[in-house]
Amino acid sequence: MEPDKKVQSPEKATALSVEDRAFLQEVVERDRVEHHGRVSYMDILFEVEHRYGNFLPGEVLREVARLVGTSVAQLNGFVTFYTMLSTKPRGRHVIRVCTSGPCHVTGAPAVMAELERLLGVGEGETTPDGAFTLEGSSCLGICGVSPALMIDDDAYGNLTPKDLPGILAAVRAGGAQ
Amino acid sequence: MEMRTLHVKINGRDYQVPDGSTILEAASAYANIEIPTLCYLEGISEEGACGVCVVDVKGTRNLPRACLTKVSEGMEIWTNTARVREARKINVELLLANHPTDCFTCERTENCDLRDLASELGVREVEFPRTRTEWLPIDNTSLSLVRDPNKCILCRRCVNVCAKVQSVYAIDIAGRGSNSTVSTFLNEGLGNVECVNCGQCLLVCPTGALTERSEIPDVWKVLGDPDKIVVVETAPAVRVAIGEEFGMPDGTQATGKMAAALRSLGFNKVFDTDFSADLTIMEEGFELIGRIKNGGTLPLITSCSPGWIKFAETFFPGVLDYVSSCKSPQQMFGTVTKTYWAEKMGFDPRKIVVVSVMPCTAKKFEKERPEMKTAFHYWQEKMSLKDEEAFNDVDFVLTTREAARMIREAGIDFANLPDEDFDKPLGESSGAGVIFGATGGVMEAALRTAYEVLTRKSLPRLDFEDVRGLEGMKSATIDIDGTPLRVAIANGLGNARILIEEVQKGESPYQFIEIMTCPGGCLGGGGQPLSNNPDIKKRRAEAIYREDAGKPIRKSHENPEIQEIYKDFLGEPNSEKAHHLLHTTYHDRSGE
Amino acid sequence: MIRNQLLICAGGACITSGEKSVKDVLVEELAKNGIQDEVQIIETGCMGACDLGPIVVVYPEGTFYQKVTPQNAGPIVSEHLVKGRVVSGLLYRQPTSETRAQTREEISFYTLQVKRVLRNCGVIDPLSIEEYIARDGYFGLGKALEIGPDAIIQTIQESGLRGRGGAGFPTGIKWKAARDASGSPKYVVCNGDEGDPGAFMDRSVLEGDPHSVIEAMVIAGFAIGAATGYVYVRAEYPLAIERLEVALTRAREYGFLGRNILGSGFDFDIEIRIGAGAFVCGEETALLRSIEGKRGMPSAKPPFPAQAGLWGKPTLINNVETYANVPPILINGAEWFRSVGTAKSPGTKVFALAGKVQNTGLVEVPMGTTLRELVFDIGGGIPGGKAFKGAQTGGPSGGIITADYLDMPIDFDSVKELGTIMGSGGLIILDEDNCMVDVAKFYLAFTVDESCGKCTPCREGTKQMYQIMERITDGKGTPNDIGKLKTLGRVIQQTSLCGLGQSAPNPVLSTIRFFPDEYRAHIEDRKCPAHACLHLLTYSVVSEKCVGCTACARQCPVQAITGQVKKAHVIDQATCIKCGSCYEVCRFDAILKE
Repeated sequence: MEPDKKVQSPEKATALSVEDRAFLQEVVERDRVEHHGRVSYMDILFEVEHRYGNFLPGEVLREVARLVGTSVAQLNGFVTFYTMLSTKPRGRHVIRVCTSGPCHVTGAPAVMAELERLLGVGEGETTPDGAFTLEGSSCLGICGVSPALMIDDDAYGNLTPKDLPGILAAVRAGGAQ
Repeated sequence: MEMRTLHVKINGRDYQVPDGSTILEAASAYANIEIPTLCYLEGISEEGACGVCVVDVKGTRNLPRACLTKVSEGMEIWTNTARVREARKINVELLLANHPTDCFTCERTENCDLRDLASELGVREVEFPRTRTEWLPIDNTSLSLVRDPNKCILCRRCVNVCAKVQSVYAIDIAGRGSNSTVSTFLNEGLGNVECVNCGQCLLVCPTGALTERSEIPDVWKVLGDPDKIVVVETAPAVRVAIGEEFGMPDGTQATGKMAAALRSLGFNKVFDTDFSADLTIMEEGFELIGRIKNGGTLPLITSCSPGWIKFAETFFPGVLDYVSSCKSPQQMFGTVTKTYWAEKMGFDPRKIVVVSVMPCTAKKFEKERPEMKTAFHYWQEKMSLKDEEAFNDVDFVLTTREAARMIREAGIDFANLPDEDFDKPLGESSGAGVIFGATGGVMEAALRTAYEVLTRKSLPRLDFEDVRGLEGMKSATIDIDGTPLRVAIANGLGNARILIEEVQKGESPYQFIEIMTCPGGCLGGGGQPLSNNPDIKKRRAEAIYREDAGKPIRKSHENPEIQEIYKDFLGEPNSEKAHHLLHTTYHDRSGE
Repeated sequence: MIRNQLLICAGGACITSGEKSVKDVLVEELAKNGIQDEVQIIETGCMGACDLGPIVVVYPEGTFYQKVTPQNAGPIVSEHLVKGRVVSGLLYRQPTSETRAQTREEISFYTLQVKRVLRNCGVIDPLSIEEYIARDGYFGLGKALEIGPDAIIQTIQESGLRGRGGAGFPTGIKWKAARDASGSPKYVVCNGDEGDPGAFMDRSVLEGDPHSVIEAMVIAGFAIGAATGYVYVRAEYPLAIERLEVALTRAREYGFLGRNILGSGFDFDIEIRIGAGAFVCGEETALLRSIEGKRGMPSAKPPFPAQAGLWGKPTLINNVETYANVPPILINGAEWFRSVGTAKSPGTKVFALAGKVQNTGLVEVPMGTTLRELVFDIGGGIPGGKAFKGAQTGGPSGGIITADYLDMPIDFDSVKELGTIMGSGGLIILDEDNCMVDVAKFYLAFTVDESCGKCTPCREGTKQMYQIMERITDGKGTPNDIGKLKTLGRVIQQTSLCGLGQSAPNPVLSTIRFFPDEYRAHIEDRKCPAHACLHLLTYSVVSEKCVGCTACARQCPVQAITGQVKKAHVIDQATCIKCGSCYEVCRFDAILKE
């Protein structure tokens, strides 16, 4: 029986550039100093994710694992545990619709449905133009203005489906709020 | 310090148990109650994941896990209450609802822990609808192992063995909740990551989620091909374990029955890897002597264990110069069979099929290494062979389990077979070759030869007790006629890592290091029968040393067939020809 | 000379309601009127009344302007500040009368509260350490350094403070255990992984009064003998992280953090660690693993963190609200703390009012306050004249408090008797339109999503429970489903490894207990009494009422409604997706929803 040698993923095929390596080294070393030797994986990964288009390419993760001194399988376990980190490409903007209790009872399902309709993608998917990834989120902690969502670092509350086209247009145009 | 004892009640009876015991240990050791477990693996995987070993403890609302909960003074434990039985049963049912129902065709049909447990707990129907709605792809990327994530019950034993025992960390849990799987990095598959193919994960898997890549169909095919000369070689550790597969007592020396059974299967020649183990000792022993005499790179590190070789190539490329250039006995055997024996018998090497029976899953990977085509290169010019005609030195590798399966399939009553001998000339071996199967064995075998060659004296006592035993790391100083030789032995890659880090830093005090990938050495290999006996490695080791003690010849250099192959074919140990045929090279895999 | 201060609520909710634009308008207006040097603008933390945001308060009068927008903000400057005339249109209208409230003191939402934890939220600029100090900030630390570790722990123990994160474990005992534990170094951790849906007091404290947490952690470090603290904050709270970072820097500059704090010879510093979308990390052992750079998976206790926590070392871990209680206890003493609340649950509790309630937001009340006071007196009742049905407490780990218990004093122990927990203080108010089976299913879905996946009962069991719940809300339930849910729930409670799993069945078991009829209606009659479960819902046209205006047919997204103009229409049940748009659009009450 012949083993299926999988086609290597495109990220893996592209080796990291000298600049990439220097960047990652700098991020990890800075974090190591800031945190007195006990690196903060999350800080590192968020910064790295930010640079590589809202996701963590395989080769980048390999290098990070090497730099922080863990195995790639363990880092993979870490990354896949936390929903805000992604090993799959995401859009330029990540929309996180709060799906928690208060938002659920005040209309989050309708907000999610309308976004799915407007963007033409389902939860967890990215629009073909690479602008938005639509995700559900745990509580955003602004339950007083539920239902709420967050696009990148900006929060929006008291939403109705009618508000959404305007918000999307503003974000697309580059201006938050 | 005196160990404090605690007074506990188990199922209404009073016991005094040592402080620090878990409920599981206390119940087993003092009350003779075996609380069922599934995910628990003493000292290695103590996660409390499965929820099967729960017990009732007076005064607690919940049901604590016996495997994790330590006894306390006055604790009252009930191991068999209605709610305990209900909880265990439901937790097993929940696992079954998420497990395939192809038990008839599962490789683990006869020795599945999950199935045994379900039967033990009296699970007769699974009340729950099936949880898994779509099947996950099977990881078929490895040359040694196959992972079926659908059969995985997320007990984490494999993850912990890989990390804690072997320090390889090739797998971990990925994802969360009911989407959790055991996964390699980005699910690239075991064949594409740092997995060293040792198969320790398979040995601890309670279900059929991890199995070897079976070569049984290939072997049946060649056995049925009249044009092929199919020879089989059997590794030292196989003979002391294969009997377990046929209900023989643990630690049975089944050498003669194994030879007879393999012959019955239709192999044209039944040879012995012990022969090439002796050959390895000649080459490696002389390599050691050479490095000591000529101020070469020391310590010399053994190279027979292919898991260790990939481990070194992946994690310690800097120490590859220390590693002996000798091929493993399996590969030396393949080369010798297709060169020396083929020449001697006048056989076309292309018609010879070498099948090895190994206690090892990594051997399946080793035989496919591109450099393991020495016999082909030996013949290429002589026979004007084209590159496309290249053949491996070893064609197929069967684990001990696979060999047993073939014997069962053929309906051979293994336990009642009359003993038979191996075929000559590649079936003769010394006791030194036999002890390769136990940790410390290669060391001891090499010392027997090196001592006599270096001192030109005969050994006063053949047994080097200091290097025997199942401890993960051993060291000894051997007196070679006044010159001390410092040696160390590690089995299990986690232990190896410690010794090798010293070597890497240039701080190793040793001249000779033996490393075996698997705990206990080959007798604990990933290709061995699955056993529930916690002392199984000890039993197998005892059998190996009994086999050695019973051998008329116990030093490799005294094996007449070995003397003959040097005389007729190889010349001297470490001769140019020997180097060409019996030695190999390694490469840095750290960037892969 | 500053003659007026404008406090603008810059809590998370007010920001989403447009606080930044309001502020810009005010700044502009001040400049336009040439009084920018006379009026100071202060952005504060959350003022609590999130549904009234954005809020602007003018001092010294304390005039409380609500629902301020960029369009109507101008007069606050041009009228109030320049001409001294109150902008009455922006004042809060009392729900029971036509009068308007001038200040917070006239609004029952505020007057019934006792602000201890939230003492500074909405009052000071969280970025200003000086303002914190001006309100007794870091005095508790001074006192602590003076009286020494044993006396600190004794005070905390005597105060009877219990952990505000959910379980209500006595804080003093935790501190003592961490102090007595052998092993070094020790760590102090603040659990800011507030994940209970509907609870956002930790966010508000971190955003509105970060120094109170920092101060308490330094005190804790001194008490147990630790030199390092970690605040674990969710990445969903970027503003909290930002303000905490500023506060840490200021505290270091002022010598409240770092080497030789206040000349005492005691060294302590704090780092922030970020969570990234894993609810289970709110469980303390999981949180510690997450800080260590591992998957946030809980481990069995014992060993407790006080014995073996972060990197296996003794670790004190408390939640944000618990810490925020500490400095005032040290300043005012244990007796002061016990002066409000109940005997076994002294002090106050911050609740987050959300869901079907008039006034949403954060409220702080003495322990033992009744649900009626919370929902009706402070919360202003249920909007739209609907009936109160229950309050979900404790998020996915809790259950429902029904109308029968509106007058029960709420504390840690009383709610437990009802099969729920106080949790971190989320109160989601449900009205007659909420289906209890649906609500329970929703929480279960949450737990299924957030289960770490380690142990069988939680990973597989909650999923099975969810499948049964889904069957019931789809109208395919069977009579023994209730029994199955109870059995599974029991096993999950008894054999899950951590608190998340052990409490996961609570919402289902609680609703089965209090709303058995609703379950029966779903299973036996295939009806959802609250008309919330789509599969059990039908829309039909009451032909006598239908005038054939075609509005519904035009609105229907799937063309399920047919009929001629001026004739009664018909809904094709096979095509209908039960979106309810016909029901919404019909002006003649001709659509029947049942």
